[in-house]
Amino acid sequence: MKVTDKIVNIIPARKFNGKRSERFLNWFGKHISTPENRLIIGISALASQPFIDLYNNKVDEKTRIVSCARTIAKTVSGTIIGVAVRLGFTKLTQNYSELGDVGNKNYKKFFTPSAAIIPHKKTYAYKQYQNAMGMLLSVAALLITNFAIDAPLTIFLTNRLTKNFENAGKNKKSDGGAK
Amino acid sequence: MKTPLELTKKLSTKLYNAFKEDSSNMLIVTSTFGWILSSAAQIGAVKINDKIPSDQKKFLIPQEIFDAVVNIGTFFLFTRGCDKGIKKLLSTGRLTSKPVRTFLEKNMPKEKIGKYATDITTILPNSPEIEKDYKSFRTGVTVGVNLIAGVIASNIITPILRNKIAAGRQKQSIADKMNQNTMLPAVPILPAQNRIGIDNYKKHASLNPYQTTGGSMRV
Repeated sequence: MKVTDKIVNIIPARKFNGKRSERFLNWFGKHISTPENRLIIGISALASQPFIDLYNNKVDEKTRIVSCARTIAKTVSGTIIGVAVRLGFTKLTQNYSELGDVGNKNYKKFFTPSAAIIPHKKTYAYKQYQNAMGMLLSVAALLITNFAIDAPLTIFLTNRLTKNFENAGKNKKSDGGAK
Repeated sequence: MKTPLELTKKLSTKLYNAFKEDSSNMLIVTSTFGWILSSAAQIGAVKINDKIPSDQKKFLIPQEIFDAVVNIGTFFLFTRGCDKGIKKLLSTGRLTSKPVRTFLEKNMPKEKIGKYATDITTILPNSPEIEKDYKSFRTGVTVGVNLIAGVIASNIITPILRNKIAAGRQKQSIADKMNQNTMLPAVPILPAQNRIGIDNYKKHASLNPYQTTGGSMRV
């Protein structure tokens, strides 16, 4: 028996019985696309990464503060820009990939695939295509926004946060001394 | 030469055929590519930040590049591994929804369901309703698993790895700097005509107004 065979057999077989769990999974697959994915990763990053950096015993205190400030700055700026760009381009694709008759407004079918293969209404498969096209366009836009907005915003936030953390640390020490 | 509209149509058609049933792969690819762009921007941020001295930049920029390679590689390998794993469990019937399981039990030997070599997608087309159910179930599960794997990879595994590697490099850098500082320049040996003789030394030493006992030095 191969190793992969053994791994598959070890994992217990699971059958999703409940209608609620099935409905939730179907909803999840339809509605969670790249902007939501980016937002969830950004929020969870803010909840975990700064603490990993702040309590890193392998470096001195000053490095920890700068590292923590930089992590928060990178996460905040990356999440804001990332979600905004992805959401924008997903909406753009949805608005300009219409099906059916659009009259004179042919631009509304700019992202509509060839007539031979597309369905007559927005099926699940068509929504998956719209998500994929939105993702591809947003990656192209991120080429510009990462350098034009993300990087300068990270620098600004890092310097600001480092200053704030250092001042907070000094105030804490002077308060402790006064006691 | 093709017009932009024709090129867009061609791209749209390719994307539709590739991702109409499952866009979870696209999530991993675009997340990885987004991270590559973000890392490139961060390296640029270090380069243009005039508050960082140029000596530090010489260290920080290679460090950022190395961190980016480790982080992106870990993220991609971990999420891709989880994606492949979950898709295998789904295609073998090891992980199913109730309607799909019921259909499988009616249409294939029970002992084959959930085995590594089984591929349930070959019999699903017999029932379009069940096939549709399977596809939406599969997309939901793979998107969920890819999301969780992405969160674990980017928020837990890579920061810990990054900190370990960066701390090691920082220690090495400090040790290198200390070695440079302790290597004092050699004391120059004066030519013979510039050296003070022992008799002159004793003579001058005794003229020292601050000398009281004649010093403890024996020559």
